[in-house]
Amino acid sequence: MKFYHNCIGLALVVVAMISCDSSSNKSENLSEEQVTDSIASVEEVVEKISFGQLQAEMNPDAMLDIYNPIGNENFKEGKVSFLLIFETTG
Amino acid sequence: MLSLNGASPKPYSMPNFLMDLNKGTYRAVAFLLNEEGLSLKEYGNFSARDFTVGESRPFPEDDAPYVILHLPAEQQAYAPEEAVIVDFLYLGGGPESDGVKVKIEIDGQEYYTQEIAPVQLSKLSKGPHSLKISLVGAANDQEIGGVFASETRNIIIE
Repeated sequence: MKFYHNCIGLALVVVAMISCDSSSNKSENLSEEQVTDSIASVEEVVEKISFGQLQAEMNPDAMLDIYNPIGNENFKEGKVSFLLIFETTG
Repeated sequence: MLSLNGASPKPYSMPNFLMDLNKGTYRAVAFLLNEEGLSLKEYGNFSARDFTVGESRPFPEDDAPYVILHLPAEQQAYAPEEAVIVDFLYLGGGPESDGVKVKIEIDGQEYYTQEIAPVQLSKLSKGPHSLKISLVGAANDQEIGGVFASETRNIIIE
């Protein structure tokens, strides 16, 4: 019975140690993050803007045409009517 | 989407609509977006028309290629970690056959490309920025002529 109590006691100590340990890890992580954050913000001022080419998505089957105005027309001031035609051939 | 005279394009979900226009000379460029909200850039995916309102003088005859800037829109605001994507249409033959390059300028930094593809900018500092896109000669880096030789947009990183 005494051995059993000791076991529980030991288990509690282990649990306490683990929880303490992880919390100290957490705070270490936090401080590390803060350090890297401040480094990053310093770099941001110095670093140049980077330009990266993205992949252009193609869809040759989607066709769009301006039906109105037909082109080189002259309109009276005010409302100009537009008509767009969308077709997909795919 | 429809851009008038190179201004920030506006979305239209209906095929027919009316626009209230003052006297002037206009070039309308209509284009389609993909599911990611980027413009489709191939011949046939877009359409352009010139017209005048109130007997305004038409644009001079001009076959020069030009770009229409889809993104960023004027006064577009971005969250600090949000990607700034420059999405443009090229109206012409092709940068290589036309002997031009697309030039993107921001904060005194320049980027040149002959690919018609979106460009992602990163590491922009907080605050306002002015972005300019233009077509320049492939050999001399000089801006080519034409009514729509360049477009400038102001954006804000919050």
